[in-house]
Amino acid sequence: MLSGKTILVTGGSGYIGSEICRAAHAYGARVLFTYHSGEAAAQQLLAELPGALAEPMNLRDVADIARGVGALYAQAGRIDILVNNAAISQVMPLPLVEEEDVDLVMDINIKGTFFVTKHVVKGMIRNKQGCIVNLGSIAGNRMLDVPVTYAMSKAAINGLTFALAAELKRFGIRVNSVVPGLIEGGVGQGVPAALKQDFIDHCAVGRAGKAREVAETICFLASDRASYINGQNVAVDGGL
Amino acid sequence: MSQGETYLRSTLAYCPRCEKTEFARIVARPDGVYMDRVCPESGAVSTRIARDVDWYVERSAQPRRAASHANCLPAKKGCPFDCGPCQWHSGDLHLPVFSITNDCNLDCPICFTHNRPDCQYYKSVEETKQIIGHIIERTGGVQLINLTGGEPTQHPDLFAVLDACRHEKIGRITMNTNGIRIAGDHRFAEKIKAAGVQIVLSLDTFDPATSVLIHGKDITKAKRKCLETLAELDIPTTILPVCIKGINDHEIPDIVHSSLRLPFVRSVTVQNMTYTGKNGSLFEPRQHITMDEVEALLAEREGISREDFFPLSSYHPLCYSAAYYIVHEQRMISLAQLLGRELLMDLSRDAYILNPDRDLSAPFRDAINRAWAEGADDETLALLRQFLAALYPTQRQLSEAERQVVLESWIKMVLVHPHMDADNFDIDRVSSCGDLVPDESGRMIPACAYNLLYRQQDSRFWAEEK
Repeated sequence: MLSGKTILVTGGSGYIGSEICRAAHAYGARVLFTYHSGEAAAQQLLAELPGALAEPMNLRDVADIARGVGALYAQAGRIDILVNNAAISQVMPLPLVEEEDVDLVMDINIKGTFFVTKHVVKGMIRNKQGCIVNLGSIAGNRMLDVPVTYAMSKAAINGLTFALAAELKRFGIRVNSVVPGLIEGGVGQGVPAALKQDFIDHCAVGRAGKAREVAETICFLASDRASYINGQNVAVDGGL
Repeated sequence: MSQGETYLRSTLAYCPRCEKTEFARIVARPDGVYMDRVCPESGAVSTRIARDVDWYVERSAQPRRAASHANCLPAKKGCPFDCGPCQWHSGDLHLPVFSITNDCNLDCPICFTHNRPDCQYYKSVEETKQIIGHIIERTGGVQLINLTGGEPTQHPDLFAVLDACRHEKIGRITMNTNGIRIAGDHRFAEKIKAAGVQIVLSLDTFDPATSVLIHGKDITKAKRKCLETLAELDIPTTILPVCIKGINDHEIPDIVHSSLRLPFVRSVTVQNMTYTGKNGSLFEPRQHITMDEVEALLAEREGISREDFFPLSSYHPLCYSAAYYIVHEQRMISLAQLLGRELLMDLSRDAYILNPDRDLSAPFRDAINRAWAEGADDETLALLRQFLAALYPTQRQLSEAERQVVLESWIKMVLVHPHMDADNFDIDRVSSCGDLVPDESGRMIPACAYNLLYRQQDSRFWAEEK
């Protein structure tokens, strides 16, 4: 499905990120990924995926983003698919949220996503083709007991997806986002038990999702099979 | 009734002279709550059991749940003479406590047990396994067990006994010690660390003269050295001071407050002096300090207030008083004041320590919002922020085990736990005790009944003087 494509996954050493890398590799793509603190996990993934490249990148540092994307282009030659997966969440109730917390979450989840996109899309525009898949969250779309800063940042991904899709349409670049519901592991690991149960009670499939199920949707959207899907937020939540 | 007295309730007491239970009335007087009983031989006996009448009335009104047990002894002679527990016992087993030896390297004048220096006994691995099996059979699993003595570190095969205690249904092994062996034998301390045992260190005084009164000799240097070693090896520790009115009560607030700020200390349990055992029953002055008096004593220092304390719901309300704090460096936040005592009492309903399985994120979030809106100071909010940042780091999700480590290093417990002696023995309390002393046959005796009546019947621990 992705044979001959080069895919860049930000935050590829993380829980969902590594599953996206594995799935893309399985579908024939050459995998590039970034990581920040997960050096050991990144090395393990590199060993698992022959031909993959990993680049450390601090998404809070725009200069480092430019450097990292440049380094990946220099090594791989092209990037056909960008998956903006890297994000953080911070469990902090409203009264304890300080400016630095808002800055941290917005820097990584929005600003970092924006500048990775800006630097990667340069090559896609030159090639007049490409595909971007952003990772949103149910937290940005529904009224849920989740960290406010995280929900804010994920809601912004919707707007980013719509506007980017409109702006890049003339270059043959599609932009979509995947909006996972509750996923086992990763950020979902920290979700309180009561909220998990509430999700499962209201989920048509009756369980939390798996990272692989998110990865499969991303790979499909990134493939030419989804050539007529553009500017969409695709929910992967089991039906809520 | 005498003028100025208010009758509160009646119960059964125990008379050591007659070796019988006796009717006792609990009355409020202007200077406190008293247990009055009449012994046909020695006349009226009156013991103060609380200083603050309102406190006593409020505590006594806490609802309790009766437990039903399998494998109980029949009620034949009446409490406390059928212990095993008997079919009328109304408390679940929460803290199994058993002696693994009668050997001790001290002969403390306050010691509340009976030991037998002429015939040393060390519990075998096989006996230990039998006891653990009985605990699991009765409860399905407990949060913790406590090994005591004598002095457990005197046991020549201690680490094999500790191994025998390990079971997936036993949450934590705690072991009492006077700390002398740990202070003097670093290699031994390292093995304790490797064994994963939580130490319960008796720590009654830092004053040499008081130490002589309490321990028979000055062991304050050994206590300090032991604390240094526990800190160096970061061995999780409960500090256990015995509070004795007129002897060391003035030191207790300092011991508690300073201990809570030690990173390796998980909790502090203040035991009120009880006059049982070969030595303790003869200790003078025989002045009981009550649970509420200890709470008030601790509240003399900034950081602790009497409103922080609540009764553990799994016990008789006069047996355990608990307070929980988020502690970091010099700052302390009371969980009772943050989350409310009702929630904490609910969390202690079936447990010795707060039930860690309950998700507290929603109550915490509500409490933090409320505290903020009601004007909590910046330092308090900053401490809560640090606590949550440690518990939920942004870089990665902590595993359950890692989260437990963070919780234990930030949240510390203070318990006030008065055992009973012949002066204040209350059948109402002992009949719902959750601290049971198990033996190899499967018999389990409430701890205060054991200390007062049963230990001296066990030839391994005690022999009547001829």
